[in-house]
Amino acid sequence: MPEMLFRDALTQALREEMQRDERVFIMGEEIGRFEGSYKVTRGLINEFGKKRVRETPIAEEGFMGAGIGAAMLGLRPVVEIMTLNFILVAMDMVINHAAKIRYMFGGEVQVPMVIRTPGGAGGQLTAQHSQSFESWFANTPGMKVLAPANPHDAKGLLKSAIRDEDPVLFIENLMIYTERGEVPDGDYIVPIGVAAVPREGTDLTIVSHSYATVRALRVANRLAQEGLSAEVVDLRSLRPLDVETIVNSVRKTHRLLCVEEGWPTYGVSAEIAARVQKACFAELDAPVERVGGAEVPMPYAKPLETAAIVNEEKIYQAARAVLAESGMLARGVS
Amino acid sequence: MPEEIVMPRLSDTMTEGTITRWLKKEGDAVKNGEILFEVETDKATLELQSYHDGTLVKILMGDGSTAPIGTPVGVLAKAGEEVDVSNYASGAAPPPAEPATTSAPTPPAAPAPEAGTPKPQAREATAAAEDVKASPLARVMAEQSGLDLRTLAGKGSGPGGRVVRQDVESAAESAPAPVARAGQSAGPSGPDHEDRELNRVRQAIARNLALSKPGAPHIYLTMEVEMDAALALYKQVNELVDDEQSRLTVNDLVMKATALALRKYTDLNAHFIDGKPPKLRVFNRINLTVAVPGDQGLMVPVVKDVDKKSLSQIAREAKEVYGRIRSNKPAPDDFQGGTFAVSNLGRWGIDEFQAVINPPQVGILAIGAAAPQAVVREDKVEIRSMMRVTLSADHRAADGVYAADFLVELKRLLEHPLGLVI
Amino acid sequence: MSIASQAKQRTESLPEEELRRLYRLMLLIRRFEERTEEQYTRARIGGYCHLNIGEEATVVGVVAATTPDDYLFASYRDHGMAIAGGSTANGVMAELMGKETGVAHGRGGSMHLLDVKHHFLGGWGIVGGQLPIALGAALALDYENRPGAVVCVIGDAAVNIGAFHEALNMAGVWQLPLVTVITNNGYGMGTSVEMASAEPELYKRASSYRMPSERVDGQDVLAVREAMVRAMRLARDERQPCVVEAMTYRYRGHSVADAAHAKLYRTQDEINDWMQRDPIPLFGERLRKRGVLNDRTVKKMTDEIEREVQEAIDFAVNSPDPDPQALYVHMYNRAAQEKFARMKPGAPFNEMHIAPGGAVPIAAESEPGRSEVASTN
Repeated sequence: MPEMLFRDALTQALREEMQRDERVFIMGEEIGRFEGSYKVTRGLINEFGKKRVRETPIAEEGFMGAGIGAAMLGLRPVVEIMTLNFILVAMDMVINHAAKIRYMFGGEVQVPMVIRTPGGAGGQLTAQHSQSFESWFANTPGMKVLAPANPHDAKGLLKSAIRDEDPVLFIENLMIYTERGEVPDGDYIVPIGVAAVPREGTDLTIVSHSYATVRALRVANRLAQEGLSAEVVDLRSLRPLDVETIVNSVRKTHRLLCVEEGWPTYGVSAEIAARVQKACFAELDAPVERVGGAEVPMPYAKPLETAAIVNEEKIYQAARAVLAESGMLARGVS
Repeated sequence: MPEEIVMPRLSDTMTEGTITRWLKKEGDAVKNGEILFEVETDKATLELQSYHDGTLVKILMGDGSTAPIGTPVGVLAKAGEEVDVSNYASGAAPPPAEPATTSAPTPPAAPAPEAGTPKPQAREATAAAEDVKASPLARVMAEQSGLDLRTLAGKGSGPGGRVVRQDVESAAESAPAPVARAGQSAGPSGPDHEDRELNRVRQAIARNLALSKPGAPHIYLTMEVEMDAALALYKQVNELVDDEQSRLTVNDLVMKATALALRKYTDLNAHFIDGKPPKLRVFNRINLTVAVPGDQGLMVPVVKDVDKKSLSQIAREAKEVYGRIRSNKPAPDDFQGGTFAVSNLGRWGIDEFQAVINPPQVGILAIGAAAPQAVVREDKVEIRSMMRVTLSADHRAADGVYAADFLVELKRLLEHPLGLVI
Repeated sequence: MSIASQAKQRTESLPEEELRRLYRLMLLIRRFEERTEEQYTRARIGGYCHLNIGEEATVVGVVAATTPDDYLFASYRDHGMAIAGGSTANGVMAELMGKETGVAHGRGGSMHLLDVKHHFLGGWGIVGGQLPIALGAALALDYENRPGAVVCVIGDAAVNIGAFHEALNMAGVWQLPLVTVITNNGYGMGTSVEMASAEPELYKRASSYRMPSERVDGQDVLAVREAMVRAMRLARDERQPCVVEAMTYRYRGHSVADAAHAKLYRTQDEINDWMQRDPIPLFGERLRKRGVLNDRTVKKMTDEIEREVQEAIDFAVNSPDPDPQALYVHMYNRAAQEKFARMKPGAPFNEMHIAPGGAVPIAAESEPGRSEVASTN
């Protein structure tokens, strides 16, 4: 099976969907000649032309609304917001419009639109360019929010998003674009609302999404070398959220650690912890732990940035803390 | 049909109004758009226009009247209509107010709680207590009071019969004594443990050591114990004992000695609780985790209150526990509450070994074989039964000297074994 | 003559029938809005309710220049737009009263009317929010090489919000078929145009985007129509976006709940002056002079309209409220029911909760009108 970079898997998905359905078109800043800030749209303008690869001025509110209007008339726009941070100037369009149109018009119209954008931090991009607030959108009824963590899922989930008839926020990540992985040729989809379990284990469940899953898997490896068996649940979909898979895992391991790139207060992990405590109340052997980005505007200086990002060491320590808290019973004492 | 003029709702917050002045009299012609009256609201004095052409045939509420919105205040006959005004009494009690479509729709019926709490996953029949649906708090309380949760299974006050705190409390009150195993003395009254914060020095040690050695930073101390007196005692006692169950093993002696030593060196009878700041949870009870080979692998059941029990009691309980483990039918709390561990590989001929601490415990004693050896006593070579014990201690809880002192005490107890019988 | 070709015809050569139709439409909107205000005071309509009273010439004139190929977007002052666009008085009144039979099935209310069949795409609550979306509709028309253009009606205050600039700029850059109609009624809520706009001659803003624009007397329905015919032709045939500013006035306050009927920020004199230019009598006079209207015809129209509007009120009052058990219906498309299935365990609010008698689908019972909205012919 071919191996490729995460970003190239996205390009493949876009190309295949644009070939498959004439209604699909992409819109965003620098997606044409510049090939996209993160090269995801490289080559597409040559193949599909300027109407289907529509470059915009710097006007997020404007072109986000344009995506909505085009979707209402039956097209399938894939709007690229250069980084998640810039979605803020288009919040009204996303939250007050895209998420509400179907419902507020009594189901008479729909907005089958995808918004693709990378969150995440690293590289000293500083405060306004390093955020991961996808939880705000996962909190909004009417939105769907997806976040693949590997190239296989990137391609399959983007295809699902484009074929979906509701507004979908598709979260990529600055650090994840260069992750490698196997990607099947041809058409396949990854279903929305279903989490994956990339690593099975028995002692601890770690739930994460996007780049945090990449980190969590590395931490699980490290724990394994100490005889601790962590199961990693990769959410892939924040809304709808696959509570069933999470609950099944926690029922097996009785311990839960949630990891996210973003701020944990009122974050994705808060939601998971709340649902797990309700569904697995009597089966928890330790309180649910969360670990995420430090709640500061991302500082510039390298040591400060490193301290602020939810790195593997922090995840590792948090995992051990959960295990210790529950007085894990050892099988062997030798 | 004549048009009923009602007290109008002229603002979002208006609930009632006062007609300050009718601008039309009974019998006046009225045109669409003309003002009927002025009305004082919560916000301002406003006007109500007529929305129809017609004649104001009746004023039901005059100047100065106050009424809730929706109350009829007048009647307007449209062109060509005959109205019998005697049908409308002035100041009549208002008919039921118009349905207020602005009131919030009744919210959806509160969703029924999910039918029962989700079923716990099927487990092996052996781990029965874990199958009992109970709140985490109830579990802890049951363990502390020695209550067998299975006696309350499914009969708790929580949803689906879940056992909750109040069930454990009432059970503890009404039970004559906690479910006891033969010969077990009652657990101690009072708090089960005491949390101590580590002092600054210890915190610093804990921090530094944690960095250099992930998990509990182990220190290992080995002591040779002269077991002759203990072995002699063990033989004597076993000659006096009738039933098999009460026969001692050397390990029983070691366990009792360990427990008595832990009475003095309490920091080793503890759990290390990571946190900011980290804490040492020192237990009042001394429950020894004992390593036992089982079918599936090494098992670690717990013998409780070892310091309080006689040697024969310890022997009996230890055998019972091992028996249950081997036949794969452990009791609910066979694995719970261990405060310190003992592992004995002497039977397999191991001289000495280093055991790994079971976190969050902070110590484990590894017992080697007692074997005759040539030793030097008072400048002479003698044959003595020597046994090597190795203590693994969590350096965050105990320093080398403390650990050494513990071993010295253990050695003293084993070498003067009558103290174990008292 | 088909509606389409009629809409494109020069105003001078409009047949009498069409002139009467425009007049009747203005009468209908006026009476509908009056009775809407009355129903609001009877607490049958709640929330925000913005009326077109006084603006009938602008509303009718704008819509008169549209064909079935075109799309119409409006602000929250949309009742007149909806009716002029072809929605029934029944459906609009039922929506105002929040009933299941309303054009948005009671979910939208006064500010969110729509009529997919007649290409009226709302009814929008955020000032200027409809502009980028209208831009998107124009983009879709261009993308699929479809005939038609998009008319986006905004108020005078919306020209100052960011979305105005972004949308018009992109319409100009991409040369999209978008006609922006600024209904300048002098006030954005309580703030006059002069207080809010550095350039109060709002049509001039279009020159920043090199768009043709004009200002027209919004009380003259034929003048509005004529300006729109010109603008729509440019937009449809030459893909040249334009701006039309219609000078009009609202006789009522910003909304029905605007307690002081706008006397706090306007003078009675000003209101009276504008009432001298009430668009309905103005048009009526012209038509009588031309012999297109007489008292008898007007009385007939008035009586019919009175009945029509009363019927709409009765229809709405007697219509059922939406079922609270169906609160989550229309949240997502039908296939989403399955996608949300695994979210259920421990769902604190049981968002897919089962209604008595069976599962409540979380999508509309009927597929949304994609085929209507984006017909490819």
